[in-house]
Amino acid sequence: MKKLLNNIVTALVDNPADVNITESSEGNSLAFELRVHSDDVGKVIGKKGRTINAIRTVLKAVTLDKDTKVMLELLQ
Amino acid sequence: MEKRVIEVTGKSVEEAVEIAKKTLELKENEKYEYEVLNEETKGFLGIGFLGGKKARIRFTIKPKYENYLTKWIEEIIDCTGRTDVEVKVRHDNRNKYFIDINGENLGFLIGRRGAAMYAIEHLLSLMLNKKTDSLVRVKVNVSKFKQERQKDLEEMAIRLAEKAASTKKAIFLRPMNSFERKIIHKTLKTYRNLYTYSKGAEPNRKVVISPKDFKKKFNKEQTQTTGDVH
Repeated sequence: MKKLLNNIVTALVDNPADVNITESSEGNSLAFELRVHSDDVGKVIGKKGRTINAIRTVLKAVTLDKDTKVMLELLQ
Repeated sequence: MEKRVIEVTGKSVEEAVEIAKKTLELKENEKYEYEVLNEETKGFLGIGFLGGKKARIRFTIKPKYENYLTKWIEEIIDCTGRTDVEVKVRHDNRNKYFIDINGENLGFLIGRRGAAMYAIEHLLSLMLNKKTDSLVRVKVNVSKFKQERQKDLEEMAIRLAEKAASTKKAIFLRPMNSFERKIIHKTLKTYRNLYTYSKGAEPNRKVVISPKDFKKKFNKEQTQTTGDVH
């Protein structure tokens, strides 16, 4: 899961070395905190959040039958 | 996957291109590009004699990304631990890649009204466009979802068109993406007494089905929307 997220984000940004993801789980919810290079923030968010929402949708899709809640937050 | 590049010398640029094609065994459906490093120059007293130079080019076969896309889909599916999924990628030799995914119970890859499918489409086209200089489009289709969706939308369009015609009122549809809006517009193109247009900004853009004489009756409201007519 974390690997998938990491691969998706690194494929989108210009500075793949600065991608940093921390994972924390609590009960049946799974939270990811994502940090990217400041030049890449816009790329990861996309027009009106389209890209980051697409990433969220994909994460939700792959955990659909596991009954876990996935959250993704982009930190500055 | 990786770019295949060679540098070739020939008597002329054209000859060098031909040599390069043969050496790399260029297939008919593969695209190529080349960069001229040195033009041929005619030496004193004809080619090659006293200072004549041969042409040198860098020849590149443009990479194709079928495998790249297949890998991504497989990686996404791997996360769910499923293995019974078939992924096919086609390239139309212009700028479109079509990904067909087939298998049992792939609802999770479609999502609500195709949300997951369009999300994957969006992410893959971003990734691919980052790798290439030219614009490419990626289309994902899970278990023939788009064909079925098209049928449903066509039926809905016709039903609502009849309603719009009988009530003589414009009908606003729910927000749709461009693929779905196009189907509505296309289906109702032949309806003489109606016209369709889209209103609002993405992602809340909606199709409006309106009777033609609606314009005269409700002139005020109509003037506000004309700017959005497509």
